[in-house]
Amino acid sequence: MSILNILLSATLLFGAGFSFLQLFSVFRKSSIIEILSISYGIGVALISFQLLIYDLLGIKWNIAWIILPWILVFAFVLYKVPFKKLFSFSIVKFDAFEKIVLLLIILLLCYVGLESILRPLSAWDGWATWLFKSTIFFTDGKINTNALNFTGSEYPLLIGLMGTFGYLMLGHIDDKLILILFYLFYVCLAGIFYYTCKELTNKKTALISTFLLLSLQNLIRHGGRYDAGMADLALGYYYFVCCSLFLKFIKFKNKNSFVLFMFMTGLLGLVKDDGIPMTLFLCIVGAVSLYSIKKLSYLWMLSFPIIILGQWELFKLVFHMPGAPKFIQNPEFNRTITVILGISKEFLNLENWNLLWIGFFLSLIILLIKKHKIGLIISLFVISQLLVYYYVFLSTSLDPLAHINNVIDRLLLHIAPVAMLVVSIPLYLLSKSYKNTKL
Amino acid sequence: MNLKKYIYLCFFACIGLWFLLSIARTAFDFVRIIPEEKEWHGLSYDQERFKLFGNDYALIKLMKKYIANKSYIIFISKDGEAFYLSRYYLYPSNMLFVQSPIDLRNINTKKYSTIVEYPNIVSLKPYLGALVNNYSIAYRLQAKGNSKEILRLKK
Repeated sequence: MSILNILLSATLLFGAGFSFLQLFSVFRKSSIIEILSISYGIGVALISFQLLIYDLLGIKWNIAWIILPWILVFAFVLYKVPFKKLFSFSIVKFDAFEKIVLLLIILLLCYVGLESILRPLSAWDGWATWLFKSTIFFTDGKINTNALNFTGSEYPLLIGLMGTFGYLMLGHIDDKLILILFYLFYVCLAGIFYYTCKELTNKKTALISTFLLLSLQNLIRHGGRYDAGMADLALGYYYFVCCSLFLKFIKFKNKNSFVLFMFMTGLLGLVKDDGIPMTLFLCIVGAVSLYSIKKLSYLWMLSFPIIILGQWELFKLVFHMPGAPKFIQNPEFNRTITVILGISKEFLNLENWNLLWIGFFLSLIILLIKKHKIGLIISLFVISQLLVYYYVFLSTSLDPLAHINNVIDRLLLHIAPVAMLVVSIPLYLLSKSYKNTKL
Repeated sequence: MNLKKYIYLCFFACIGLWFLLSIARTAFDFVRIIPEEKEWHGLSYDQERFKLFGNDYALIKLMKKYIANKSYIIFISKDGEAFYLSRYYLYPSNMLFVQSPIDLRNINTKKYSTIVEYPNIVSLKPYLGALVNNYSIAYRLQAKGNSKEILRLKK
């Protein structure tokens, strides 16, 4: 029964996001898997906002009151959009090699899914922060700001409220089944990655790249093995969705795609504080792209991320929540070599990353040689964050090497999906030119 | 061979090797799930947590048994993991992490009803006399080899 309840809560998260997406025409022609993959992240954000608003308005977290608005929205969408357009399926044909890779992807999805429900929450940050907040909110039946102060964590509430929603649907705390909601970020990342990659390359390259991404041991650990229950994979997923929406905006150049892009950009800082530099970077990217395509009338939409992040900052201010830890001081540039070596050591950690980072830097050189504009722009999504990490480690008041060793595998997880997308572009370009030479 | 071709070759070699490595790891992961599943299947709520957290979970069980719900607890330990785990499992009890009994001097201890020392980092004796007067119950947990002993002090 409990597993049905948690699956029902996942369905509601998908449903809420799906209904919201239908209000925009960006994904009308997209595959249902792609739409659902984005819907999950949007659904998590919307239901978290809903719980927050209910709490602020003093409305009790009653399941019926939480679900009802979404049933109405879904009914409205069904009324407005014909059913056939809403759920369009097309049969895709795969050759023998593609079928094998697809099978490997399915095996990985099944394996990580099984792992996620095998054991209870075991990740340190899971019980020290993320699901601890869910436990607090569920036990108290509200966002108890006093208790939040007692956690000493300045992290935002999006993931904690997602867990609370799961517990509300279950009717009790179950830190084993709740991990399914974290596993779904892994599944949805696979979906959105495949379709974004297919847009830039072809089916075969997209399948290979998706498999290479999903088989990263660090991703598997956060998706369902021992590190499930933390927010790092979720942040990686949201950052990748932003990248995908940015590419959609470049393609369609319309208002709706930019609205969605900016909405998701705002969410990054609500998943984890580490998402704030990402939000800033994407706002700059958004502004530059608006300037380059001469759509300056959309500039006001840059206020979306500011409003989304602003409400959280205001919440912290009003309820005297703890601020970010003050470990940043003036950068010490004499640490440069130590920091670069410390980060590079993780790039070569094959146990966590297979050959992702070696592949990424080789891809960067190839993209420069080929002068591939889109590829280089996407590379900036990764490089900008690497520079942020570099700056943080130069400025940390902690021992830089200890700090790097403690967090670098999680930081790189935030950008790993985008890095994989960068790798897929030269893979496609080179295999295409090799094929043409052969012919 | 020019530099460009050398880079392309390196890239292909990298992807090829990575692909093979990923297949091998996927196969290994999939084989590994069967014994893992057997190992975890059918365990009770407590057995699962004992398996994951060992002695730390034994401490949590003891605290759940002896300390009332919604208590204010001072947790004296150098073991951060034990503290955060206890805080997670004992909520709505409110726990304060103190790394050394000396730090108690700087804390307004009025609202705290319970002291837990884990495992047995520093003797509480010099401080106990004053503290027990302020607290209804104080607990002291001592690890002796693998067995645990609980010392209950009443006012």
